[in-house]
Amino acid sequence: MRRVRQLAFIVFAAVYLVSCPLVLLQAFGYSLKPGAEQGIVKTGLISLATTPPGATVYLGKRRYTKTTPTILRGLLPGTYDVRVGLPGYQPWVRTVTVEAEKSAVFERILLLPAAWKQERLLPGPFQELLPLPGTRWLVLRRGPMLSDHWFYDWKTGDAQRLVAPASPLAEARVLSIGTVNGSPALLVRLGVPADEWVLWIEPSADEPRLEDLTGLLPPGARHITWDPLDRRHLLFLQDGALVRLHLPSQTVTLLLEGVQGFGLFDRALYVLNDTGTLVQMDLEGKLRRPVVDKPAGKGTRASARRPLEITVFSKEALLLLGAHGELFTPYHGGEEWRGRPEGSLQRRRPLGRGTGFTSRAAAPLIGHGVLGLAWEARHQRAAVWQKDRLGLIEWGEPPERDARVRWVLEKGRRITQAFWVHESSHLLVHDDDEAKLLELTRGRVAAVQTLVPVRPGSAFAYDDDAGILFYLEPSAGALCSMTLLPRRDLLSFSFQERTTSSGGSP
Amino acid sequence: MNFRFSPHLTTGRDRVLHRLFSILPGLASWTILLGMIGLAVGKPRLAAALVIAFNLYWLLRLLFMTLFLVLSYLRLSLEQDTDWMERVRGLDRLDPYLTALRRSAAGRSLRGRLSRWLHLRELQRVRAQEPLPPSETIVHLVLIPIMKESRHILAPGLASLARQTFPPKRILVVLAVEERASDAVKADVRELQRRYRAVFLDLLVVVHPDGLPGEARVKGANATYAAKAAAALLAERGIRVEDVVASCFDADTVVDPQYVACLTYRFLTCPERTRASFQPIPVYHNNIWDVPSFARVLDIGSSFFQLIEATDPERLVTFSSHSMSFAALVETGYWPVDMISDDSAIFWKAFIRFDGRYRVVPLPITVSMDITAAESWWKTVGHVYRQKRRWAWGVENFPVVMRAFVTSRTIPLSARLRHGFKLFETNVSWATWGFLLTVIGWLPALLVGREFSDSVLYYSAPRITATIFGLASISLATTIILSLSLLPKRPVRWSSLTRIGHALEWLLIPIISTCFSALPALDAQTRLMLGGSLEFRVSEKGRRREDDRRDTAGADGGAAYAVDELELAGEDWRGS
Repeated sequence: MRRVRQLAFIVFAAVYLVSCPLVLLQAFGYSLKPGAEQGIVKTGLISLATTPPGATVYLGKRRYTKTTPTILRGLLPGTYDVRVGLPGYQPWVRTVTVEAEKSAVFERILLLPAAWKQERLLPGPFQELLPLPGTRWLVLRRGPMLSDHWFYDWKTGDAQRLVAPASPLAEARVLSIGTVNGSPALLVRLGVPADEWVLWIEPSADEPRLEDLTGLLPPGARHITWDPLDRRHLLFLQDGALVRLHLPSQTVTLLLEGVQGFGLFDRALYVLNDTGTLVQMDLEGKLRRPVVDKPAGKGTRASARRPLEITVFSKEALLLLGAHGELFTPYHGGEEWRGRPEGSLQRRRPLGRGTGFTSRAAAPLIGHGVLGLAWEARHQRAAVWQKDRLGLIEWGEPPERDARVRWVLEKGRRITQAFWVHESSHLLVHDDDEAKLLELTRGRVAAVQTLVPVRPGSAFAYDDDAGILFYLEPSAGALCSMTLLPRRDLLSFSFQERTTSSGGSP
Repeated sequence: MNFRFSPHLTTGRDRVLHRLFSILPGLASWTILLGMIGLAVGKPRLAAALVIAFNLYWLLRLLFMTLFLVLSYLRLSLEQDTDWMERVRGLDRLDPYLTALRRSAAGRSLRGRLSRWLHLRELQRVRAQEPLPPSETIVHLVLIPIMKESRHILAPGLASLARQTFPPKRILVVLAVEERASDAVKADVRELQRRYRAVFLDLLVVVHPDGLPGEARVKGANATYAAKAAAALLAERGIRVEDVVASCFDADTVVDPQYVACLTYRFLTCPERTRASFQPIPVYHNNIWDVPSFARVLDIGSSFFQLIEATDPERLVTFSSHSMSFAALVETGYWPVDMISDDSAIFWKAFIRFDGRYRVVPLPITVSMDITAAESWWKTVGHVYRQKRRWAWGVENFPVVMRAFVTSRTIPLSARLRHGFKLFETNVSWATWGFLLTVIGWLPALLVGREFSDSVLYYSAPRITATIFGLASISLATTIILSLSLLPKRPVRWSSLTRIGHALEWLLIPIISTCFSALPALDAQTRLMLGGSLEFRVSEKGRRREDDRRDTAGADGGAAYAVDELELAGEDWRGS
């Protein structure tokens, strides 16, 4: 037994001494290069994962036996033409640069159907589609009257008028419709002769529920909002004061005066007062904590009141939008970055670095013209658009949380909406009455595909869970849908080789 | 080499050396663990590379150990049906026995044939030795230290000794009771003495006084006191210590009927028999079906470890119930009276005493003991943890042994290096491997930042690790198969589903190895490093009786037990 043990020890030790370096070399991407110039070379890899999975992979002219999701290993540094194909889908083609010891990651490739699945849901003509993001509802408008407006449940396909034609309000002209993300309720301002009404309208199983708020909301009330999970309270600004309206009891409570702007998130109020201090409060008006660690520094003059809308995406991501589309971040300054075509980054101009925030002392993140924001929770970033360009706002690590804007599309024409698609790998953009799908790769737009024309003057709606785009046909005004994402079928789910995805965008 | 084998009797340079070597194992373990954590945070790539290298090393070592586990198990099973007493008698008339053996039929089974072949080979070697002493001169001394074990724990062990194929009349049994034991325990012991005295050469009850100077409250002190009493009795009866084989058994030990005969055979055929200890394979079958699965898996693992160790006699150390030459025990000065790990300490003490000319001979036979258990699951968790920590406290030998090695001029350097390294490495790996494999090894992947998520390593490391663990499942499967083969016959009340569960409980190994192996070891080493100590606590043992009542140590006493209880205990043992 002693000799057996000695022999076994020698064998195992030899195996370890030989295999360990080889395994480590392979782990780091080193490979033995055959041929005349034999030697150890550094290699890279390409990681591919598609939706739907099971696509065939071609590297140059070589076809790989494995289908997606897969990892192509042992690639010598250089550029490779990668093509991914699946019957019934458009091929995905890229020229990929492989670097030594690096991985080129494409883990959210969305294969686009060769023929889009489109469906006409309701005949027109509708003049406008009003999305209710985060809900299963849309609002469709046929005319200017209240009875010309419909709720549409895209899950069931049911449509219900906001009011019956026989209702005394049916012929009231709709002046404006206020909505809140995640809430199917509408705050509708109606113009009746010599008067103005305010209605709260919610869809329900049978017919919409209406509640008359006329008289409760003062004429000058602005920035009216509510918590989508709590319809009991409405919050609004009135002459610089933050006011809360309790609907069941119809009582009005003054929460705070001297307010420039406020936002609501997760049952907390984020309030910017006249001194430039940004604080968090509860719905009763009790102060919880200052949002910025250091309040506005001494000596800072109080700025002139400038109305601001505070958009809170998360406890760490908060933006202030001015009336002229200027965008501010409340933390220690921010920076605007412009991506060069080569992919390198250049600092454009540093923004105000100070202790805390003042609406006058600090320079904005974006100076003007911001039309909208779309939050992407997965990577804690937001899409922002102006009329002709689209960018991504990313926040740095605590405690500084510096925000940066990276413009990814600069040749837009008339951008009015943007939605994140497919695990933030794409952006669906409403540009110049067309729905366009932008593929993002490494923070840049790699491809743009125009999907459908959209009725001028109307918005479209998109639900990423269902992967369906809702829009109005340009000519007939019919409500149509287009399926962008394949149905998530459990049977076809396949595990990627890598169980955790990379942190960055493709 | 004359050396005071004690962690307490040190002054001057010895104290410094002792303190230094006390710190070393714990320092190494903590350095490895914290160092890996620090690397995972600061240098994740380097940490990932080290993890891969370690995992590969672990895999090869695991496969290596599995290979020898299988070989050792085969060796054990080869001798399963061996009539050791016949072999002992054969030694008394070696030549005729050898001739008859050669002429006899080889037998039908492969196992029988292999056993016979090995036996013949050994007899050839023995024949070349100097003449063996007659087997009738060999006397066995069995010491059983008792603190709070009731007769229900003690009786099966005594019954198993009474059933030995070796004549019980040549076995001297000493029940070594602590003075501080309860009256109930003492009454039980007296009752057992009354019952079994006539079976053996004698059955002494020796009460170890409490608080003797220089002694700690440890089992070794009790055993030493009893051994000295036995030595006096043996001297009275004119029995030479060279003819005596001493066995120190835990109170719950139940031995195979062939144990003493096997031990006698090995003793007689051992070159330099008075310079050897004899180590059986400990199994924990007495109450294996009555304990939680984690406790069962742990102690089966301990048995497997001993099986593997048995294949390396040159570095084997005594553990738990074992035997040794009484002459060596006397010359060594008996067990240390101030150390908890008396089972391993006595080996080192003898090794040092005899200048490295001392070894452990593995015995291809099992002794069965109890798995630590308590009334409730959580209490069992606590008891098991403390027991494993006590086992890990064997690290207390390291500073003592190394102090001797450093100062010795007579122990061969190669032996010092070999044993010293193994002692150090065994303890450090015991305390670190569980954490490295189950927790720390995954930190680089978890903590790696976005800056590394585009590296080849980020994608390669998980695949390599998965492959390594996939290959390690070969070892796991082998272990499961062997464990099922080694286990005693199940009580008929268990369903097939329960049996499947018994196989699947090995999947708990990652958690068990960390919480009940690595953690107690780290605990023990840390205490030693910080200059602390451990209190000797008798492990609670519990067996389910036929009436499904659990008997724990210290339970009822006084009432006489019926013969059928004795028979039942024997049946339980025979089934194991």
